[in-house]
Amino acid sequence: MEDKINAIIARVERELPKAVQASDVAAISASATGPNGDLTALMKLIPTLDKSERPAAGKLINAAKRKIEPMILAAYAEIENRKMAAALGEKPDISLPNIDAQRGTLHPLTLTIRKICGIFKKAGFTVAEAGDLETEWFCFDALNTPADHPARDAQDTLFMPRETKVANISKHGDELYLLRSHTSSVQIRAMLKEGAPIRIVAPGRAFRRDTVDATHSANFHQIECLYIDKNVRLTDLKAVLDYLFKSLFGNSAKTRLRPSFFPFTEPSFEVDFMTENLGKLSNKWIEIMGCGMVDPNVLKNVGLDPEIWSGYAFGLGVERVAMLVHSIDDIRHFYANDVRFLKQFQNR
Amino acid sequence: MKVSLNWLNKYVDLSDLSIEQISEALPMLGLEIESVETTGLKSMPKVVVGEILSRQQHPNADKLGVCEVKVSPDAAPIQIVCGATNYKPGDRVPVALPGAALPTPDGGEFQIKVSQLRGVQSNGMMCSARELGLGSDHSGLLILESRPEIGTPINEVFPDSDTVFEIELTANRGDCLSHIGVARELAARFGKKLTKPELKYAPKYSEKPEGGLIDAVELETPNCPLYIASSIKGVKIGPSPDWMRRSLEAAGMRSINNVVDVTNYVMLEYGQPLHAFDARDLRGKKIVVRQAKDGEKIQTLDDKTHTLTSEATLICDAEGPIGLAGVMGGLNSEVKPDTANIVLESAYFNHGNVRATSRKLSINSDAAYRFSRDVDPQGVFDASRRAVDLMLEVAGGSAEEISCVVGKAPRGDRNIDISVEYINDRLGFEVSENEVSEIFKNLGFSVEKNGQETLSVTVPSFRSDVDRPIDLVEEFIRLYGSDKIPDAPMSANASTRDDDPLFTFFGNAADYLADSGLNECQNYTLRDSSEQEKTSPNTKFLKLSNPLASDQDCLRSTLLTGLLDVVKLNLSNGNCFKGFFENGKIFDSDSAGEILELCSTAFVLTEDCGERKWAERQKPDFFTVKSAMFDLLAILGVDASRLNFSNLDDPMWESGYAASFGSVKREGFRIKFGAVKVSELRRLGIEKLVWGGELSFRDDVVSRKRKTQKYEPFSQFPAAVRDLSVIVDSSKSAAELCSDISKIAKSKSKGKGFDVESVNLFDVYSGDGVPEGMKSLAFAISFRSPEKTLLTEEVNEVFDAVCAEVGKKHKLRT
Repeated sequence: MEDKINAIIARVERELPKAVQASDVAAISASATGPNGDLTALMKLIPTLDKSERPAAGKLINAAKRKIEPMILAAYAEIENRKMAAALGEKPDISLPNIDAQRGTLHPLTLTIRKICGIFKKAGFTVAEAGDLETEWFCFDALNTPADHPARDAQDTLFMPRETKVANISKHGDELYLLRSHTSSVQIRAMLKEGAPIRIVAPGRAFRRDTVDATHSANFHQIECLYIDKNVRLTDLKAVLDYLFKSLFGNSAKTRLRPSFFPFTEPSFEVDFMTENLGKLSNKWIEIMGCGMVDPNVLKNVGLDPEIWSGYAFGLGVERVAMLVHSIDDIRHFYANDVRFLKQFQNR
Repeated sequence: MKVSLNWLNKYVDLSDLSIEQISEALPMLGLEIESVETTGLKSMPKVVVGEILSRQQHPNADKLGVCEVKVSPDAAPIQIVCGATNYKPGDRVPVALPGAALPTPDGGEFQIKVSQLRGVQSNGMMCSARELGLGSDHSGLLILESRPEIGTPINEVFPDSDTVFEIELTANRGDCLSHIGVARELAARFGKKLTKPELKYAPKYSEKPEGGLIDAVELETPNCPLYIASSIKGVKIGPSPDWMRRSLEAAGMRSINNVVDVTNYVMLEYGQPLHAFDARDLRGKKIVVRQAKDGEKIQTLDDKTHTLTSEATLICDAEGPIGLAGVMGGLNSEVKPDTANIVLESAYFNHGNVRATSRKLSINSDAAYRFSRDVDPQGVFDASRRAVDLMLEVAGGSAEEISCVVGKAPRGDRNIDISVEYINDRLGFEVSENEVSEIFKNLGFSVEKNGQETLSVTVPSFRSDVDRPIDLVEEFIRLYGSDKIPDAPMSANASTRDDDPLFTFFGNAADYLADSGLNECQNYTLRDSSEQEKTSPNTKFLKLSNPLASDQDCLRSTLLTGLLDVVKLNLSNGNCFKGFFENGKIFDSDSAGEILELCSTAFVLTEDCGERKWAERQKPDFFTVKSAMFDLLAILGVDASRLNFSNLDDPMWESGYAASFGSVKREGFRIKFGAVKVSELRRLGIEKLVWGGELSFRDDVVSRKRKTQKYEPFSQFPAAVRDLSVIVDSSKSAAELCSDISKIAKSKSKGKGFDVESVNLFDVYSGDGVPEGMKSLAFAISFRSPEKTLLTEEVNEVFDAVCAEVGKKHKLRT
């Protein structure tokens, strides 16, 4: 009996791997454990055995069934697996090139704006926005720039016609609309809306009446930075500049303030920075932007008392920083949008 | 402005400072340097003119000659060994005698000694141009073709060395548009004494001088608050002396004649522009300063005739214009070779008015440059006295004892009270009262102690830009050295303020589109109106009043046109790409001309850019851009599934292949997406299909507060799904039908204890079995109960009712 049982198990073990479809497995299963199967036949013989041998024989047959059943189930599963795996198709040559387009890119100016805003965010500055269309008051008068200042000349600033009406950009009085010549106008809008203390960065487009060449563009981008609080001092300005340029160009970066003049800051400075690892420009002072302590007249113009509040402001040229960081030699690349240029900036 | 170092040295002794020290100091004072140029010959004692008498071959060196050179008319010639070959006996050359020091290129000096060269004694050196520091020629000896006398010191043959700094001044520093102004800054910076020229001419001032060349000056305009007319009789016009010519040339001015040169010299010295009139041409012995009449004409010194508006200020005699105030003199009254009597104008003209006139007429004169940056009212007096002194010196004649003066200085000295504590508070670091007063005094301000805490600082009239305590803080830090501001820790406080939601939206949209394989672009805001008018109706309201170029004369009304430019460029450059996108501002104008500034995100995809690949992918189609648009709307916070789109009829989009929704006035946003009009693509020279979309919105839309999303529980039981096919006209909107069926299904299942979970369209078919001009749409209706597994019968009952209801309006497909 025992030999017969083992022979049946061995047969099933031998046959199952040959099964191609589920019916093959079913046939093997039936030949062993089905109503007409060999194990069932042996089971039917039990009553013919000596009474003392019957329990042992029953045990053996049941043990054999328990052994065979999982083998059958596994065989069914294997066939289903193979069926589904067939949908994988032919094995590919894993060295073949991709078919789909690679991940797209963000414009280097966007990357630069993100980077700088991120640096400022760590220091508690958040982003403010205002329109590209502005009015003379917000762009000049409120920023302490008198009517006869050269920057307000029609030769340098792009104006809209006198009759222009803009539904969603408010005027102060009856002044002209223009394309903002700097992002400093956001200072005024933000201070009027939010008061003080305030700590903002405002990235955006600015416009000058410039002929396009390798370093001039009809529009360009600036990031305005404004901090107004009680007791903001010149040393705080120096500290934020050091922080900014170390964050942008590494810990070797140094900054220097050089006296200058802007109507909206007093004192006013040009910022020079110097750093290693900037190719030919390494370890030289590089003029980068204007900055200063917000002029008391500007604070008065937005209803803040300069006896209580003070602060600093500056406007950083995004193209200029991007050109330095990425060694770009011509500002026109930014606006030509040749993919051979755009695709070079993969790192977000 | 060009500033000569030799000239500066007349007012402040800078001889102990190197060019480098001065070049570093000026920018740190706020006077930016454009260029530094050293010309002429340094002082070189013991370098003289010599004549080569003979040359013999050196006995021990092929390339050397041994020359006899006469270096003094009286003494015997000396022997010099020389390697050059470009000379012949009889030539005169510079000879450096023992003890002379020649400049080396690195800024050092090379001492000439008696020496032995290959066994032959050499008693000096004959020099090339480069060896004297006169340029770079080192091809041979500098042959002195003019044959100056033997023994003449070389410095008498060549002009003196001078260094010229070209300085770029900020708009507030009119006081530095002069040599005295720059000298004052350097004196203050280096703690040196400033010496101004001694003024000898001390006229009596009168409004109505008698017996002079002029009887009266009348000021009829507020644009001229102060006018001095001095009279000099009997000048002799001729060339200026060398020293004056050299000074003017160093500063970049041409010498004209002695009288005109004096006016220019004093302008460069004091910063006060002057004008000399030929007294013969002053009709009526009178000067009138008045506004021009509209259309009035004047011919200026440069021979050009200008037509004026009433904005311009004129200098007139009794009969008409003789000069454009503060800008340029008139041709009719200029100094001529036979001029004998001079009326010298020194005046203060309103800076804004001069600037406006010179800009308007495009006259960039030295006078206008200075007046428009505000001259020193006190300097009006000093400069006129100085000019009279110099005229008498270089042109002879005699000055009238009485000068005609009308008006008064618009600005004098000002007192500003300031405390050291205030300065320290603005700076953030401590400075002492001594340091403060020292710096102010060095700048020419006077300082007095005013009680215990405050200083009373008197700022002279030449500083138009210092009026307030904060201005004094700037002056202090400028001279103290802004490079000495100490390092300080960066202080930062956390902020609950959020980034502007527009910045966040653009950031998220850019990440989404770039992750979809598109490349971000930046296109110009300004476009060509003649192009834009073809596709955008109200472009005429978006035009600038003063465009620089006609192809950049209006604001863009869409981002799409810029992106099509990019597609075109990249196709013609043979580049591979999937598509492009841009975030930016666009400008909308309604038919009444009112403009809205809108925020916009647009993208384009090409069918393919011609790139060959080993396997194909499905090309983009309408649903590629529809799905992208839905995602952008979701980023904006708008649920697109509820929107009913319309077919888009627009000059930029292909009718029937493009859709739109919304208006910026009503919903605050507007979308357009689909296929870009083929005829438009072909007009632009793009031979590939382009799909795209643009989402434009008012900035307040992005600021709408978004609901915090709350969890909704979902059923644990299975759904029962029934399919329904409907045959409709092929133009029937699937969305409409879907929404109808959904409504019917909801109404029929009402009160049955379960819900319609969804109605999804899963098949669109036309062809066999569907009549011509019709289509079959198949929907799967999903029913689900939150509480139990649904029984077939109860679902069938509702589904049958739904079919019956739908069947009333449409033909069902069985």
